[in-house]
Amino acid sequence: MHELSIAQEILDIIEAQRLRHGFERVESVRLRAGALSGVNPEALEFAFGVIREGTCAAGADLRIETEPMKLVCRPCGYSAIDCHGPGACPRCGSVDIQIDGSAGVEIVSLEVEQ
Amino acid sequence: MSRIKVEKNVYNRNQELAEENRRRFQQAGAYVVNMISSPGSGKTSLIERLAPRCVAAGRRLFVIEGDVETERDADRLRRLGVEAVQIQTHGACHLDAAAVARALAGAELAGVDLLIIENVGNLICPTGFDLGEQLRIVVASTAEGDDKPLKYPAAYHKADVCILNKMDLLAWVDFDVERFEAAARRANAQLQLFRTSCRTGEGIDAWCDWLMQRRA
Ligand SMILES: Nc1nc2c(ncn2[C@@H]2O[C@H](COP(=O)(O)OP(=O)(O)OP(=O)(O)O)[C@@H](O)[C@H]2O)c(=O)[nH]1
Ligand SMILES: [Mg+2]
Ligand SMILES: [Zn+2]
Repeated sequence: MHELSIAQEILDIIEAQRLRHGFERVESVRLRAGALSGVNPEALEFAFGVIREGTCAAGADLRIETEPMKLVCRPCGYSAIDCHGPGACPRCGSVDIQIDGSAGVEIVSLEVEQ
Repeated sequence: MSRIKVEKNVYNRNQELAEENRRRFQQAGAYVVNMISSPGSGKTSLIERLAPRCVAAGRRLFVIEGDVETERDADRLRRLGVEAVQIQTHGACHLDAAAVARALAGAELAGVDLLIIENVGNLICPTGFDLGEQLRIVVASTAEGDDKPLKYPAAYHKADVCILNKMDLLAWVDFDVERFEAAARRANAQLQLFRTSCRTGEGIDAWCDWLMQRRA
């Protein structure tokens, strides 16, 4: 996964927010990664830690929430979180199961010091 | 300390550029396909098989080849008389909308019927980047194992078509086609499935005819 370019995009968005709101420092960044985003949180934290030096986010904590993958049974609508791999629906026994989740990576909010 | 609500997707900028590409493609009347697969599944081979059919049908084909290094894939297609530009990403694991726009900066797209963008061989990163395409294809091959759609669901979730290539190798690999297709459908019920072999030609007509009809 291209964690470095995601980290760069995060910094660019933070900088645009700084110009708009005029804060001094970012304390923390709340990030939501969709279940299908493919983001590796450790790699993203590492990349962000490297490139944030010298910016207003130099000391910022990156809080990544990864959404769990959802499985939905198409015939009966039963849904469950995570549980990878093939398998049948525990309610109706169907194997016609769909994987659901977002591929987006969103900056939810920033905690800033004015 | 105070909280600022941001709610911005990190892919927004790419999305805007992708929409620009899409407008340009639509104005030129070009149908644009983004091909994604792990390295070596047969993306370039499938385009090589398509090329003579485009000539026979009087369709102008244009190809963008995305690779980390070398012009090899573009050269393979040029040898067949296909117009091709090569993007060398020099390390980047995917194409993005900006790279496609740069590659096409000097290109004349008017008169191009079909533009195929062969992405960098990688099942993860390219899936996050819309290039402005109208059709997204994920290519798999029987040498890769039938569990790939379970391991890389995003690649299948966001595709319109799934081509299972190297059908000629079935006798030598442990690959259950039914299980593969069920897993692919699990990631995406709407997937249009094809089975091909670039070696024997199996399934190539069905796939190419389908694509040509989409274009028409
Ligand atoms: N047996 C067999 N070999 C194939 C088939 N299709 C492609 N190959 C071979 O697989 C190898 C890789 O094919 P390519 O077309 O270069 O694959 P690619 O997806 O473009 O590879 P990258 O661009 O490097 O990601 C080549 O040696 C092809 O000759 C097929 O249907 N059957
Ligand atoms: Mg290739
Ligand atoms: Zn059920």
